[in-house]
Amino acid sequence: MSEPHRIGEFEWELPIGFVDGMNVPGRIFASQALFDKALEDRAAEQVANVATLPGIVAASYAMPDIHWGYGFPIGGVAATDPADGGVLSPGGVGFDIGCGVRLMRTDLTRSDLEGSLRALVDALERHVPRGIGGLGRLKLKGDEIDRVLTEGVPYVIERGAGWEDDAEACEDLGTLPDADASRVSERAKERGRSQLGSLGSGNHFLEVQVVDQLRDESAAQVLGLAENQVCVMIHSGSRGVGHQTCTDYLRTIDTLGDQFGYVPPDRQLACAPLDHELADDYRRAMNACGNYALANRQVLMDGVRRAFEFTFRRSPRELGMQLVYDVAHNLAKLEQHSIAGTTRTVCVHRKGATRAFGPSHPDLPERYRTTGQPVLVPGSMGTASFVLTGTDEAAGLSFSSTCHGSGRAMSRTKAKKQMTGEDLKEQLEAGGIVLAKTRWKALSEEAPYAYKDAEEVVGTCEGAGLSRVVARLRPVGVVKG
Amino acid sequence: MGDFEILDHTADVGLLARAATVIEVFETATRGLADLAGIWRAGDGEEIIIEVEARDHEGLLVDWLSEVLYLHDARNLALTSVVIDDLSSTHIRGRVGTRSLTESDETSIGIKAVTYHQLAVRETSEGWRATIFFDI
Repeated sequence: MSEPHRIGEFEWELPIGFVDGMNVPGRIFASQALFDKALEDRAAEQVANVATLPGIVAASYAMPDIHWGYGFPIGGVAATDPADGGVLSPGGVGFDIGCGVRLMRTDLTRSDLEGSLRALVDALERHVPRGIGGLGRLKLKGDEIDRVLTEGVPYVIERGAGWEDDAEACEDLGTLPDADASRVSERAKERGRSQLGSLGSGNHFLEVQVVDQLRDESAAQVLGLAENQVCVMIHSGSRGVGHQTCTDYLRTIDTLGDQFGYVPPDRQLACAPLDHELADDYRRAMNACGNYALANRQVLMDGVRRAFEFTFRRSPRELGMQLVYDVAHNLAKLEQHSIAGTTRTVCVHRKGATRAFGPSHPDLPERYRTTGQPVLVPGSMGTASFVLTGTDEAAGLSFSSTCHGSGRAMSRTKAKKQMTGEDLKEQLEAGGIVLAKTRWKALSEEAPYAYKDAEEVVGTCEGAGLSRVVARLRPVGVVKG
Repeated sequence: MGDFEILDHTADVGLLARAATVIEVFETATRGLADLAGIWRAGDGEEIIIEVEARDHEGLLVDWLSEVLYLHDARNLALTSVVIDDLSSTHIRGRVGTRSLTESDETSIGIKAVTYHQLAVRETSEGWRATIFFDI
């Protein structure tokens, strides 16, 4: 049978043969409605195309927020085995290398924002640069960018952007290993020097949120979350340095054509064998850009702390503004996984998908070894976001991966036709959300109706065993990139 | 110069450029990219030469437009003109007119990169067509 079929309540298979050249089946975690959408927008076909990658292990996976991307679908997960000719595909990471989300908690509650929310959003707008090619908070001169690329969060903390304990609450303790600044082009560095500490554009944002529902009270307590609590969520990535690095390496690999013996069904799936020098160079450059993304979110968070300090006239420490966690959702990582009873090192590509280690994983900070890794899932603009935790079960289901967001359901063109940006602004403000000034014309590209329902996405992840829902957060202030 | 239209994509955006010759289709795609990003400006500009090599027309188009994007993002430049002086199946050389964007300049969507997704540069019975998608 080469037709897609259901293999579990929230699991669907695209059998080998769904498209030519598949080495493994495709596995999509989805409800019926989400799966239908994946077929309709042809994202399922992209899952099957990824299954043709040399050395891919077990299956080509997709999370419930799957949608049509370029090469890989957004929400795609693929592990390749270097011992079996496995490849590394820059397109399986994306142009925004290391893009991710962080969540900061505070001791403030909703009522503390009464009369201050507009002033707070205005202060955030001043302290958090955003927009296309926008200048960042922390200017870098000369070789300083090499330290950001090599060290990530600890370097910018050394420069005064944050607290020492912030790094502990990041994946890889704020520094991706094997990062090599010399593998990043001078052109990419030129773009990155002026942009550190800027939000970027598109669906990047900063939100002031309130915890409006706890679904797992004991896990929430460990994460430092309580009902009615004010938090801040930041979604941003590696800016121009990541975009340029992916462009540089895709170009190099593409010029080699089929020299590695693989002709991808989509040119964006260009890849190199993990044991080839080119793949190693890219991996080290990718980790360097991942460090830049981590550092970028760290500098942005520092701006947020200063905005809160300015507004509430209390220090961030007094306000309890601790980092809950920082996750990346565009990265490829060498990880150890148990496959057919043997522990192997594989390269797990996550393109619009989040790592979700379970409680027993040794790479987690001590404090999260009872709960599992926090996973931060932003909703679409103006709608709820979620905090999840990873499960041990996910290791055997999806290489410890879960969703990353709502997932788009509609093109930008269609979204703009449904409602003007000004009308959407009025609708959001009528719902009690304070918005920072932005390009109102383009606002409706990011409208909630352009995205899937995040509740359905995280509920599916929980139903499939990939992660557990801990808390729901509602936005009250939005700074859109 | 030919004409172009925007192509729908769930998360990103694409362009279909149409022109009588392959040189014009590259020039049209450049204008299309600049229009999408809101960085095309009337008037004179300082010329910058761009020269790249790739394995085929499709690769050249990605690399050429990537160079344009780099100039915009790294140096905060808008485009005022595009002229391609030489184009083979593996080499392109041309000039773009540029000027600096000011704080009061409004731009449009932020284009992160040029992708190889559904990439095509083809001669048809009605002239040349180029299809390209951008990461937003």
